[in-house]
Amino acid sequence: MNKKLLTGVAVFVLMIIVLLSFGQNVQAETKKIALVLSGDLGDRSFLDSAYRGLKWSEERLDVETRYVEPANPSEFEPSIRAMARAGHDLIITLSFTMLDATNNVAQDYPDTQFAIVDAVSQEQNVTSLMFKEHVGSYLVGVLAGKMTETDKLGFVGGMEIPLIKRFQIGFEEGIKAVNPDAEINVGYVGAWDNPGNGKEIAKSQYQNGADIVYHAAGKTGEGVIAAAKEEDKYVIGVDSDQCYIAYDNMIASMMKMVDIAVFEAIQDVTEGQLEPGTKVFGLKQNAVGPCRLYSDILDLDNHKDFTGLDEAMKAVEEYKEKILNGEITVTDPMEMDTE
Amino acid sequence: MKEFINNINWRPFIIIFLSLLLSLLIGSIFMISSGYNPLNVYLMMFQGAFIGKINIMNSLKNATPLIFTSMAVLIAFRTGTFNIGVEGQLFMGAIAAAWAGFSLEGLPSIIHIPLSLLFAIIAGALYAMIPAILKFKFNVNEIITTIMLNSIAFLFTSYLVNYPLRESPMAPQTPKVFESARLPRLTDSSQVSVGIIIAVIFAVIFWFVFKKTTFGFRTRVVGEASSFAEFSGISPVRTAFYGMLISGAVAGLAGGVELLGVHYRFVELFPTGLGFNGILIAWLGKGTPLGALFAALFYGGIQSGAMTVDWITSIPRQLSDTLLVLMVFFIAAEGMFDWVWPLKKKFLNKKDQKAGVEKNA
Repeated sequence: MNKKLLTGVAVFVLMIIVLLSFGQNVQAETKKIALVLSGDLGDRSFLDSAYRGLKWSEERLDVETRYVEPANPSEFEPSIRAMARAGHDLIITLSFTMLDATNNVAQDYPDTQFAIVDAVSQEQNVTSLMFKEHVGSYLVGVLAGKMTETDKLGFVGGMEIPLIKRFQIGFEEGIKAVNPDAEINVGYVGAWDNPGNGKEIAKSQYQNGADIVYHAAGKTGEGVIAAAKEEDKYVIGVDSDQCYIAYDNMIASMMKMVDIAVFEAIQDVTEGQLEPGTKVFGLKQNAVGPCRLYSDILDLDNHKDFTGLDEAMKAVEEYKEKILNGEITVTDPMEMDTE
Repeated sequence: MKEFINNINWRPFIIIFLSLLLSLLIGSIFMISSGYNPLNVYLMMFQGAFIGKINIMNSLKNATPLIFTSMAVLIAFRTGTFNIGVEGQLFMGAIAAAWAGFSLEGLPSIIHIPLSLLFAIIAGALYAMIPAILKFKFNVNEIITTIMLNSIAFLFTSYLVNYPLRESPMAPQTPKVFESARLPRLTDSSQVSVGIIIAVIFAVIFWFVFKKTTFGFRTRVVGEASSFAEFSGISPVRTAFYGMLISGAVAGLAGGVELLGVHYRFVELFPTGLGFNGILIAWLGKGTPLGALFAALFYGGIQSGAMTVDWITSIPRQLSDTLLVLMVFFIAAEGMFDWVWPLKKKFLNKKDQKAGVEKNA
């Protein structure tokens, strides 16, 4: 009798323990996410956008997040490796400069999930997050082509790589679509963090008659924006909504929603289904294009109403439809190169 | 025993202690005002630098190029020139090693690695020859020319990786060097290679040559008293000329080891600052090879410490880098502590006088 009771109690206790540990298992599902940046935060553009996505995930999902700012490229691999060793479920890295380091660590940690923005990896546990920058740039090109008075425009790129060529060629094609006579001046700086040179190049473009300059240069672009303010001409921002930086000069920002891509990758991991391979973000995913297309998610109250901007936006909407229904295809320099 | 203690020159130790203390205090002000606990952060920094296998390995990886570049700076300095161009010579060495590494196929490692390093050494030496010739043939100041040649090296290597040596259109970088050209790594979990061993051996050889051989004596005479050298039949110009070349060769070797040991390819954004930090470390080491060796190990360690602080806390990277710079600044600015000595003397004198007065009374 006593023995039976004891066994019964023991089984009961065991069941409770099992149940409790089960419950704990469910609770321990909090995913650990790390973002390793390719430079210092505060570019008000690409890097800040990725960081914003990480912050969103912390607010809205059951995740624990951490970010790392390596001081220089030799710290990429040790930093990614440290994050993998610390047992993160997803490690997000940025741009082709981190591709080697990401691949090396991904090979050593096959059970860890990685995601890289703006570079294509062949590894089984790396998801590539790519954007259709050429399509978004086409639409800001349409806008600029409509807005220009001098029929001269400028483009300042960070580095001469196919990714940035996408911005340039999309922009050029968009301008030519609405303004075939326009002249476009192109300059490359060769760095993401050199606002001084960015400013010099943009200034010379303005002084040669350009009245709108579009930059795709990360922090270097801060110099382009400063040049626009000094010359009192128009400028187009990139990646994040930069219009607040130059209220009187910035007619649009080409949104590249890295924040949304990062957030969605994290969301997929919490739901346990981030697929390897390449995820593409374009117009359909509402992830590229001039900021005014996204009045639903961006706060556009503090954006200036430039004369002629509403009309130009009508043209943008028109061309957006044409791209979406396949009437227009924008040239993609990255696909040309991989062929 | 008492005599032994009295005979030790305490000055450098006291200086390092005082400067570390001051830098920690000032760093603490920064951290407290940003809302962090300085004690925690310094403990983490120390652990990240010198405790645990991976941290030590990362420290050694950081120190490797710095040992070479500080030696390069020292060699030039000891023979009477300032080589500010170590950075540019390092870039030239790195890209030369990359080229030898990815274009010479089918060599065994035992030939391929030394050959690639030789390419790096020659590239660095040739690049240092430009300011050397300009200085000793045309009397052009080498500080200006080497600084200018740095920019030229950055732009030239950038051109090379963007156009002739570009691997694929996707990114401005060279192909990876063949396995046979890669320096063996000491562990799987970090990027530290046998380069660190080469660096330490090199530093010791350099110390030996300067301290114990007639060649070393000659260069020292030239560096410290060039008119006396001329008088005693040593040609200061020739010694300084070759000093510059050797300095460039070592800088090139630094680039070669860094490329074949860590990166395996030259990328457009190749890490900068290794050469400039070499100047810093040569000064921190008080101009001696062994001093520079320890300064490089210390600096690499603190860099690794700053990196780990970034990994495990939310402290901005700029803040932990500020702490690193503060330490270096105060150690380098030792002159600030000169007031300590007269103070001590004054104090002692007063005591003596007092004692004397008491005796008389």
